[in-house]
Amino acid sequence: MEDKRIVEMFWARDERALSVVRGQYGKLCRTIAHNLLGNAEDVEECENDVYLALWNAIPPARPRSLSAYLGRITRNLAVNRFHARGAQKRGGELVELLPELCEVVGDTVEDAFDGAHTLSLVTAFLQDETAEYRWLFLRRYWYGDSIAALAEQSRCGESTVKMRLARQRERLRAYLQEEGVSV
Amino acid sequence: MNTKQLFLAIGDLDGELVWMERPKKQRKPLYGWMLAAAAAVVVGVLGYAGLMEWRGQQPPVVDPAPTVVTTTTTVPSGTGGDENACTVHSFDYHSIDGGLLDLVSDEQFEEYLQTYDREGHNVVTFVEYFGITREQFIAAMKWEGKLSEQWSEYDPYTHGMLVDAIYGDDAEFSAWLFSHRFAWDEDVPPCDVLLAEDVCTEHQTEYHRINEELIRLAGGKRWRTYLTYYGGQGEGANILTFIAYCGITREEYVTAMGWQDKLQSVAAEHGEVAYTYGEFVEAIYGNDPALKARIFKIS
Repeated sequence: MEDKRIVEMFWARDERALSVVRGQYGKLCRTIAHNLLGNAEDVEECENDVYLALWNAIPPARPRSLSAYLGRITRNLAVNRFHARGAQKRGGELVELLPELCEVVGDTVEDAFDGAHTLSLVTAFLQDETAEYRWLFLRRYWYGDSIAALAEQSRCGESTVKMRLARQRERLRAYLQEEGVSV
Repeated sequence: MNTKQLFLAIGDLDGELVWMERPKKQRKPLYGWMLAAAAAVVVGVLGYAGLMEWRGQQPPVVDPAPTVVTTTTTVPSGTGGDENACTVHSFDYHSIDGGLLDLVSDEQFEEYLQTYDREGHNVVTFVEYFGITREQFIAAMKWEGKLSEQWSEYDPYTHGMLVDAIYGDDAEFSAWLFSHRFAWDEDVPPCDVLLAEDVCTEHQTEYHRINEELIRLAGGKRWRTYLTYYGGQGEGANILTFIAYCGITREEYVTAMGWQDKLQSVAAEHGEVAYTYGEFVEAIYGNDPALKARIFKIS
C-alpha cells in the first residue's frame, strides 16, 4: 500500500493502519533496532514503542516517506533505550557507534545548535562525499550496520572499513569545526 | 553539539539519501589498486614508453575496428589517482562507471590498471585504452535522451558536455569541467539566485535575491549549507539571513556589489518609493525597521 494511503488511514484513526505498517515496514524497524541494540527483548519492545509513537505522531505529522520516518523513530527510541539500560546490559552496535560519533563532536553539553542546523551541516558534508563514502556513512551511522557486515558488502577487509570510517569522521570533524561547531 | 545531537541529526537525513544503493562503480575488487601501485613503481623506473616496450604488446581494444577514433583530451596532471588522493580532479574524472566496466573483462581491466599510474586511472584514458567510441560510451552509461540534462543541481554542465569533455579536443574546457567539483569557491551559480520568489507576496524581489558575487564571497560550500538550511523556509530565505549566516561584513558587501562609488546614487524605485544604494546597505546592516520596511516590503 502506498505511504500516502497509509498516512490517510492514520489521520482517519483507522487502527488497521498499524497492521499495514507492521507488515510493510516491521522488518525494517526490527533490523535497525537489532543493529543498534542487539538484544531480542529490546528489539521487540522497541518495535512496539515505534508503532505507538507513530500512532501518536500522525496526525499531526504527514510524513512523505514512511520508511524514513519509521527509521528515524526507531533510531531515536533505540538510543533512548540504550541510555536507559545499565552499562553492563548494553549491546548492539550503539556500544561502538556512539563513541565513534563522540570522536567527531566530543561529549559536551548540548549547545545552541538546533537539530535543523545540525542536519543541514551533516547533509552538506555528505553531499561533498563521494557516493561510496556517503553509502558507507549512512549504512554505519543511520542503519547501524556492523563493521563486519560493511566489510562483506564492500568486499574488503574490516580494517579497511574501519580506516575509511575513521578518515571520514576526521573529515566530518574538520568540517564541523570549520562551520563554527565547538568540537 | 554532542554525540546524541549528532546521532539524532543523522536520523533526520532525507529519505532519498538514506535509501541510496551502494554505488556500482566501486564493486571491482580493491586489489586492483595494489596492482596499480606496483605498476606505478614500474612506470616510475621505466617510464611509460619503456613500460609499453617492456610489456611488448599493444593495449587491447573492445571493438577490433572502431568506426570513430577517439581523441584524447589533455587534462592537467595532479597528485594521486583515486578520489581520496587527487586534489585536482573531480570524482567523475577518476571513477569508471559500472556500465563501462561491463564492456571489458576483469583481466583487461587489470591490465589497464597496470598500464597507468594512479593519476592515469581516469575515464579519459579508460575510453582511449579500450577504444570505446562516443556512441558506445553513451549507450553504456544509458545516457541516450539525457545529454541535454544538467549533470546535477549544482553543476553548470550537462551530460552531453561531460561527453564532450571526454571526446572533444578542447583541453581547456575538459580541464575546467573535470576540476569543477573541487573548486568549491567557484562552485556558485552563474547568476543571481532568487529564493522563495514563488511563495512570497510580502517582499520586494531584492529581499529574496542573493547576488552571485555574494555567493562567491561566501564560498560554494557555505552557500550549499545555507541553501540546505534556509532554502525551503520560504520567508526565512532572504538577503538578511544570508548575510548573517555567512558573516559577510558591510565593507565586504559593498565591495562585492561594486557599490563603493555609488552609495549616494539611486538604486531602485518601487512605485513612488526610491532609495539609494547606501540606504539599501543600511537596510541590511542597520536596525531601522522603518527603512527595512520601506525598501524590502511591498507597499
